[in-house]
Amino acid sequence: MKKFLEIALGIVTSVGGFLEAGSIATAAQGGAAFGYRLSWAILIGTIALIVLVEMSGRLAAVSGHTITDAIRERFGGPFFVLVLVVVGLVSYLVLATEIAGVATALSMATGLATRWWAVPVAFAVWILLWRGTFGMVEYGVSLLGLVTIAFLVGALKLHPAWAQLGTGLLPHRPPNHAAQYWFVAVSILGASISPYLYMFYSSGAIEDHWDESYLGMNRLVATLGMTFGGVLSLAVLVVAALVFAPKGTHITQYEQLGFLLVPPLGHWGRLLFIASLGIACFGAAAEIALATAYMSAQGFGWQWSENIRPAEGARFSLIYTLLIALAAIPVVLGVDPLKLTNVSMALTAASLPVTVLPLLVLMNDRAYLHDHTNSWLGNGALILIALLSIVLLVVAFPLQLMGGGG
Amino acid sequence: MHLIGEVLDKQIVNRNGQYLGKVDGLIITVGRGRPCVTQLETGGTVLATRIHSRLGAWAAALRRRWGDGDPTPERIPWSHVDSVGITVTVDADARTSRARAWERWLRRHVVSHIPGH
Repeated sequence: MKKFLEIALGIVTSVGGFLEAGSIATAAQGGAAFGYRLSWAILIGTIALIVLVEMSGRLAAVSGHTITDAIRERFGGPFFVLVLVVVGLVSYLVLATEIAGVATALSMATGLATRWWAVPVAFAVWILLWRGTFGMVEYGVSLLGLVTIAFLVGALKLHPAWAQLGTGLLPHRPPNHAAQYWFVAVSILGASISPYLYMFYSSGAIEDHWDESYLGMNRLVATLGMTFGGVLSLAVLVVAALVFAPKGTHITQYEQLGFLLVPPLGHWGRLLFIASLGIACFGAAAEIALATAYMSAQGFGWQWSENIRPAEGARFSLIYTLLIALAAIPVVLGVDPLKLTNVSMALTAASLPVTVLPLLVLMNDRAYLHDHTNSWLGNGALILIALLSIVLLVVAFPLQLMGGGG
Repeated sequence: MHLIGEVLDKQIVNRNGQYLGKVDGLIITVGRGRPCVTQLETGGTVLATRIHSRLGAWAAALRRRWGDGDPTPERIPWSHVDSVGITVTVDADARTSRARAWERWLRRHVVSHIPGH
């Protein structure tokens, strides 16, 4: 029974972690501009994320080491610092994006400008981490995150053309606006395959004292949780394709997305969208700030855990404190939330090689995984993801310049 | 030197399970016969020096100005190493270890001033 509950909670957590500002905005942009045609990017992103999350959970459960520990030991201190700098910078931008996401939701609800909400939102995220425990972050926020199921309800109520949607799941070339098409595709992949998610997941496995008996559960949670998250992302794309695409609406602001759920759900649609955006972004912000603190503490060998008091992990707690404070700055300065989202997601996509490539070595190291090293299937999938990550690194910057303006 | 790969960059833990940094460097003494590891080093300046000597000097300067003002890293004699496994277990007191000098300084001067610590 306890395991069953853990599985259920694990899946809910994954959903909460998956859907955030980036996945909502990029899926909506994709649907509005290209109908169902970019569905394949969500499918590929979700499969890649399932593979990476399962592996990071397996590594942690079998070895008792997080990915960060293993990267530091296997590839040395200097390489770890490179990973920390790259992932840290990207996480900073994504954290700013999520804070902007919550602030935008509050602004839509109250009419008070987004920038005024930045500091209160950042403070609320910080208080949760400073006073809360790992369980509060993991379960509390993600249970609330179930409100995002509204997107799925909305998509089903609009009766999508399933055959057309099925065709969209196969990658193909764009009908027009090639640069924008590929830029949105890269952003969707960056939004789906977030390093903070699998870094957070492997730390969570240690916080929750996983061992080898959790391997089955790990596989189930990774597969079902991420699939569920992917389906919700796809639902956002479908609704946008049916609501915005026929009118030729061009998404340039988050505020436009407020009408996303109005055709299927009426007056409640707007409230549900605001609640979904606010809660999903708030949960993601807490996870990203925590994931960055975990990564620094684990790589440098400091005391770390969300379950100890800040005074017992001073450096750990001050890392997320500083990161949250700095991440509020661009939002206070009035940086456009949607532009910030697109830049962060593209850079996330470009940052993938530094965390994915080490896994190729680590997941085949018997010193860590004993009898649970990758199968040929796992290695095949990981090689494909590694190749994809290199392609994303190469194309992200040129596409940003060509199609980033939208 | 087989030992370098086995010890370097591992987590240092004391007998109470408290974390005392990573093995950032090793002091190797070449006496009569073969070279041998006499001390483990842990501290940001050591890691910074491994990346680039200038970064190490910069980190040391930063440490002189901020915090407890002492950039010397913690050195743990090999005789205090209990075991080397997935982590390196040592006999050291977390309350006095220099591996936690920054941690203690930040706790006393920053964290303790924030409510709810």
